[in-house]
Amino acid sequence: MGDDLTITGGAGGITANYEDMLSYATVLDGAGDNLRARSGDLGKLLLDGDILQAAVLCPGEVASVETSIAAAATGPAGALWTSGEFEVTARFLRTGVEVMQETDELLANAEELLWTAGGWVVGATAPAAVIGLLTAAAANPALLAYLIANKDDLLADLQTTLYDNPWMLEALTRMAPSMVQGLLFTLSSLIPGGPAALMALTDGNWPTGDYPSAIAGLLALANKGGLLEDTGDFTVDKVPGSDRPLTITPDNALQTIFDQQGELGAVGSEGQVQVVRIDHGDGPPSWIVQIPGTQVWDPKRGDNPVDLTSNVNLMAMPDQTVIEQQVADAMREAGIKPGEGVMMTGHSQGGITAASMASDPDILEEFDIKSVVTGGSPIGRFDIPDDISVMSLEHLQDVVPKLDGADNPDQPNWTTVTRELSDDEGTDASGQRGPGAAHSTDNYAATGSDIDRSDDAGIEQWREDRNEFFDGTGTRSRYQISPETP
Amino acid sequence: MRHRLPLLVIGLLILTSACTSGGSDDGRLKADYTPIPDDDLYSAIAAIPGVEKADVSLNDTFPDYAYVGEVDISPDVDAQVVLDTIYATLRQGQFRAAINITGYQSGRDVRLTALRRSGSPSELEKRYGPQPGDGKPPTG
Repeated sequence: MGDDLTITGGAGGITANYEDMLSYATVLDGAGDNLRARSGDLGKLLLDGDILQAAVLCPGEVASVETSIAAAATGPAGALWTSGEFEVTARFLRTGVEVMQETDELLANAEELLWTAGGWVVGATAPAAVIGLLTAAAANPALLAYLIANKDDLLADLQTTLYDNPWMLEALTRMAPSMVQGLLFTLSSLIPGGPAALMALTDGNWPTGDYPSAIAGLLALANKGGLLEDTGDFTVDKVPGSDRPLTITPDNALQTIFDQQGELGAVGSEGQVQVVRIDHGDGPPSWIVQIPGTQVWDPKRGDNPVDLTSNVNLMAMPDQTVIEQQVADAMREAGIKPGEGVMMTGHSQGGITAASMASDPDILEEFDIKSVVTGGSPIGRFDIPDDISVMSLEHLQDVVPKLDGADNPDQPNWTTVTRELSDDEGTDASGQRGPGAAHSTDNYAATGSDIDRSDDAGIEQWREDRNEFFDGTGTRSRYQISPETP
Repeated sequence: MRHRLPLLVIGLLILTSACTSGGSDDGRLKADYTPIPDDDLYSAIAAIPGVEKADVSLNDTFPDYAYVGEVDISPDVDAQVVLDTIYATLRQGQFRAAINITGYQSGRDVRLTALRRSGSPSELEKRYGPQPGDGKPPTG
């Protein structure tokens, strides 16, 4: 079961293996030190007074004993020699791990450079390609007629092509930050001041090959036009009558989480955060905080901060965003106290918010976030502390988790499960197969169900370690984020 | 000469699309039935024996397209049968809509256990067959 799942990171990940190798090296080193010390003890035995006295009475036998002791202490198979072998092996292991880690890093940097350069070239030449296409179409009425008549089919086929070839999605998202810059720098020759003006408009963040600076530049540019401004005064109140029982058990945990994410994102629940209280009898409760995905695509902030503005601002990783403040207010309103375990979950933007909050020292000072669960969220660049476990669900054909242009880190505390969807699962209500359907919460709930049934050792370990959230009586409540009224 | 690059791009796009999708909309799934209007479906659900109160709606907020809701079920009926009937009823609605309904009975939440995974369209088809069906859950 769950054979179509690809699991990276976590207890069985590469970093965990590196750490295991380093632990073995430390054990070998310690054993070598002990053996060397025992070799010294054996050496001292050679000069032991009692033995020397015995040599007077039985010189032959003592000589034989001394030869054996010397061999055990310093001989080719002796303690000193073996201790040296242990220490050399330990050093080889450490060096091997260092070389592999440095090679991984070098390859990752080289790959990033390649995508950045490719993006610049594609972006910079795009206007010329578009002008050429328009010119060709104008000069060739048959081509123009074909393009107009088949516009919808061509777009549909493009979506299908992207779905069937996820490497294209990967390439496009990796190149996107530099592609946008390449495009806008080429177009900037049409504005007064040219590229220098564009640099100024991006607050000096562009040109850059660095992802956070690319997003910061985009944000600065949009803000100059009054767009993507993370502003507004909001208030959070419990939705009356929203308390409902919720059963989460280890064998249905992730499916339930994403079924709930689907309900939370539904019409009528706009701007709501869900908090699940799990009681354990006399002990303190545990909490699951659920944050919805993007609900408003207008680049101007309105009444609901679960919007496009939050997406871009969260990815720019500035100080706390408005949406994070509202979720924290919902947590306070729910009565979550310091020391009570919290799991943050989210679909799409909800996952980004969860990861951002789990990386925020101020939030962590107030709340004991122990776990983050995301579905279809680009969170690979967040610096989540090692003592917080992360479970990231991704679909191979879903473009959204790729939007950060980075793989999730391969760390013992961070498990990423990727599933390749079937053609049927990637088909939406219009019958179109494409990346859009791959992002739906029902598909993520199905993936959650597969993980719930998985007997992978790393997954089983994750489930066992998160037991406080999946064992007890749950009650879920909703909290409404609304604009503050004067 | 100037037109070669864009023509090449268009050619490649058409070629790739044709190769990977087998043409245009011929391969696309389409509804071959007229969906029962949502309000009629909701009325039908409210009339199912054992349903005390139902709050179901169609969520078409991208990327989801699903009937989502909560149903209060009276304590004297089999909640699984009620949920199964609700799912079969909703299959007569919008083409390829997922279904995500939670039942509440005697102070507990109940999910339909007959579905192996979530209520995604492909999982629904495995249990209820092609849409629209007859509004009744499979027997056995």
